[in-house]
Amino acid sequence: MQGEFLYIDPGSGSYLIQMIIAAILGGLFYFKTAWRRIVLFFTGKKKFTDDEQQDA
Amino acid sequence: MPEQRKHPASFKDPSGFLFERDNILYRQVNQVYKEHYDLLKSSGLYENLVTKNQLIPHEEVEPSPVLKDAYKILRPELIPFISYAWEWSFSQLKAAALATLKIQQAAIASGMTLKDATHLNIQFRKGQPVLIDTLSFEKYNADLPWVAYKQFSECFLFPLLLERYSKFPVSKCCQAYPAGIPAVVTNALLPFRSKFNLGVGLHVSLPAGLSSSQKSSGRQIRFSRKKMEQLLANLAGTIAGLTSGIGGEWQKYYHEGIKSGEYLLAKEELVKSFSEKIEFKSVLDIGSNDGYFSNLVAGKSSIVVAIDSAPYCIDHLFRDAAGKHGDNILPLVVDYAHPSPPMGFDNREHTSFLTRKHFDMVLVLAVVHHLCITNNIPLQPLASSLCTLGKMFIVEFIPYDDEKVKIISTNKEAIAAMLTRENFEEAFQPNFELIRREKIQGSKRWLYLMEAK
Repeated sequence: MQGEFLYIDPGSGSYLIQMIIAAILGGLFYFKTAWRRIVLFFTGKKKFTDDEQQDA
Repeated sequence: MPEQRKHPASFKDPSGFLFERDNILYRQVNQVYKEHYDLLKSSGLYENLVTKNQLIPHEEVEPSPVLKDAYKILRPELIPFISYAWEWSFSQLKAAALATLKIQQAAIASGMTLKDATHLNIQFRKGQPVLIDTLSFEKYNADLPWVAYKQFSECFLFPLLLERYSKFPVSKCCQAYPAGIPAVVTNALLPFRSKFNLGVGLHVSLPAGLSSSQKSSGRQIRFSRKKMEQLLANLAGTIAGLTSGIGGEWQKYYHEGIKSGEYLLAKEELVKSFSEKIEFKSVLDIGSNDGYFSNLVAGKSSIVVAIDSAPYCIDHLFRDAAGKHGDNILPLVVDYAHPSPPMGFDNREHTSFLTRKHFDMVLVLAVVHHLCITNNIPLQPLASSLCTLGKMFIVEFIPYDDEKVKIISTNKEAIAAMLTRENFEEAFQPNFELIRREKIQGSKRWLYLMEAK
């Protein structure tokens, strides 16, 4: 099934994927932070914790 | 010169290896790993992880090198019973996965990184997952992504997702794919509804989609510590939110397992009275169910290995054990009719379940009739298999006319009819010496205390 990929180095084979995931997570983090600022601006309360974990 | 024997599972890593001398286990650290080993110590990472019970402690002993490139000889603390992911329940693999991520997070903070992230490097000690491979760490280069990311996903995340969404027990997944299940296979097995989970999208669908189009790229990749921290936090968040998808089905089975009060009390008194006469440190409880009798003997033992074929029972016992007596109870998903075979290269890397330890006491309670009727195992072969496992045995015999036997013996009446006390005693007599037998009040069942010949 994955015979043709057996010669790709197992570590670096996942490097590109990690770059893409990191870029997506970075983007999500940016929007999450921006959204918090907007909510804080309107509510004036500190409603959110600084939990950086993404929702599962 | 004392005989030195290299451990059959310790050949993959050039950093060092395990060996045995005079029945003591040692780990040799090779010269090539010197820089990393020194950093593990000088960065405080070793001390930090050992204090948090996340890394197996060791003492450095006099270098008496097995090979000339030895840098250090370590004597690690011993694990009372080695177990493998193909014997773990969902919560056990989940705990091992989260421990691996915490260790990697601590390593990054200390300027090191895990070069391996397989469940084979994790063992359970006092109910907690602990990393046993001291040589898994290497110096961290923040420009590079996590070299063990793919291995971590395939060994931990994918089996957990498959039990969550496809009811595929993690133990079976890890037995079928001991080195990790590939993303393309996981992606094909996961149902459509799972694809709405961000973790599934990022860590399964994305690599599965890319692996069919990706050729080896010579492109220079630059990562950062912040990106690594975000990746680890996302993996931890994804895994922490997962629950087993097979819990509901087993819950019914578990509640049905609770018997009538009089019988259970009488049985408990007899097991106590039988075991009082025995000196034991290690116990194997076959067919442990919710661990009622494992808990009963746990106070007197240093290790109780509780096995059951039902993943839900084992998962419940694992989650429950930490709070009670029981951090010396190790629950494992093992079906006695299909125990774990020897695995790995040359069939010598990972031992079969039945040959792993000789126990002081073995509990075989309310399980003989299941093996005989459900699995068609005759009494005599069962007796000769059991007797190799330990010294003293407490065996419960349940005859053909018991209510529970009638339920499981539909269409198997001829096999069930063999379950008479006379047949049972005759079959066990060649392998066991009978010490005591008592009828359990409130039932037609009998309890035997026997010694393996």
